Amino acid sequence: MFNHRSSVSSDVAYEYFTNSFACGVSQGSAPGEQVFISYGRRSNDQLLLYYGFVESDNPDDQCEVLLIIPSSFLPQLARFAD
Amino acid sequence: MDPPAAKFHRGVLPPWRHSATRPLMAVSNADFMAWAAEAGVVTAPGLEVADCGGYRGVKATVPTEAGKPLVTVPAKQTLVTTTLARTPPSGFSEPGWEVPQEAWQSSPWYVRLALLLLKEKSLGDASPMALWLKALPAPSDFSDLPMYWSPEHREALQHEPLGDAADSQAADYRAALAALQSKSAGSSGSGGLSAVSPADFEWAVHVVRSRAFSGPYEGSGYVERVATAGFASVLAVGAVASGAAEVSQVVNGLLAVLLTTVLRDFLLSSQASLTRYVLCPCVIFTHAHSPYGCGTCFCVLVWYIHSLRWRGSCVVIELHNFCSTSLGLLSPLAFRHVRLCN
Repeated sequence: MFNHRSSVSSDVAYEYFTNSFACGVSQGSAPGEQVFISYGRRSNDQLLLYYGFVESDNPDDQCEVLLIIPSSFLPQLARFAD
Repeated sequence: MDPPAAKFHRGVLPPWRHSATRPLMAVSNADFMAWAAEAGVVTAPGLEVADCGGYRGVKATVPTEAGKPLVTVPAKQTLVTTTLARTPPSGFSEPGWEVPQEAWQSSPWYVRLALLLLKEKSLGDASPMALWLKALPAPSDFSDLPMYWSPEHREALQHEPLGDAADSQAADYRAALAALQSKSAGSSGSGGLSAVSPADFEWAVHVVRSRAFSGPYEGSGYVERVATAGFASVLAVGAVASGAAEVSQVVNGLLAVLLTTVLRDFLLSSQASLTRYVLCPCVIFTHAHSPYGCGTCFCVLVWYIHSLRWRGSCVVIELHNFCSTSLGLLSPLAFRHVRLCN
């Protein structure tokens, strides 16, 4: 029933003795506020692929890129990497 | 290092940003909540399903407490598979729905859950989850996902890895259905699995991948635990009634059985290799309607380099808080996409 917000800390837990699943959040909500949960740590790529939306200021957004550089430039970059 | 100033780049918006508002759900909020209550779903006091600016969400009408469950769903109202599930559930021995053990074992978790969902849906109104199934998004609600985007919109996104991932997604789903149907080709009866179209299957997988949760699995089901406890209790009563053992011995034995069961489950659930995947009603609503505009996807927002490391002869730069579609702007700098860092 709940919409996603990355900044919310939430959890879906299996309740062993009652054989049920409980969803809770670590912070309360004030009257009139929308109650959000987090669907998990998802990058915007994952959110778009599986949910069809992206989130602005998503703290879990990341991607990896490959930089093709001339070999003569490698020593200088190696110093930067250190 | 101070983050560079944010730069913005506007691109072509995907089609749904121009589309008319669609209905929030095929089932009214009141009917849905009535079904949930009848199904044993317990929600925190003061929560109500509401229109949250054009999309459906949950609002608090009274202050909600941190740490308290917002919603509790009985396991019998969920669809579950685990990494230990080596054989398909009993419903998959019915005519038309026979899934060989080998096919079940080789299917990834989301395909198993999709099969469970399709099987449940095939029951129609006879399913105890019928109203929740009706409340799920329609296939057309998923038409906005990248795997259905036109080449023009893919191009406008300027993010090749996402397009590649969407292509892989589509290919995986087609292959999974084809494998299942070929392995079940000898099954008796008509309809059932053989009648599942690629569109139906994709719908089910989309529902699963946008709504399922995973977590540790303790290695035994609730029914097995109750059966073990019941059997031990019957033996205990029989031993006392027949005079075969003293009450104190029987109580000790019974406690040992119960404690061993709980301890075994606790230890097994702490192993990361055992996982339970659950499709749980009443937790996630989202279906390609978002409070967050996809326009943000077309902004450049590079804050800082998260990490820099060597891979073979290449330098891999991982960027944090990086709007995915902005990668296109890096093309002139000779960046080339590798894969999603997910």
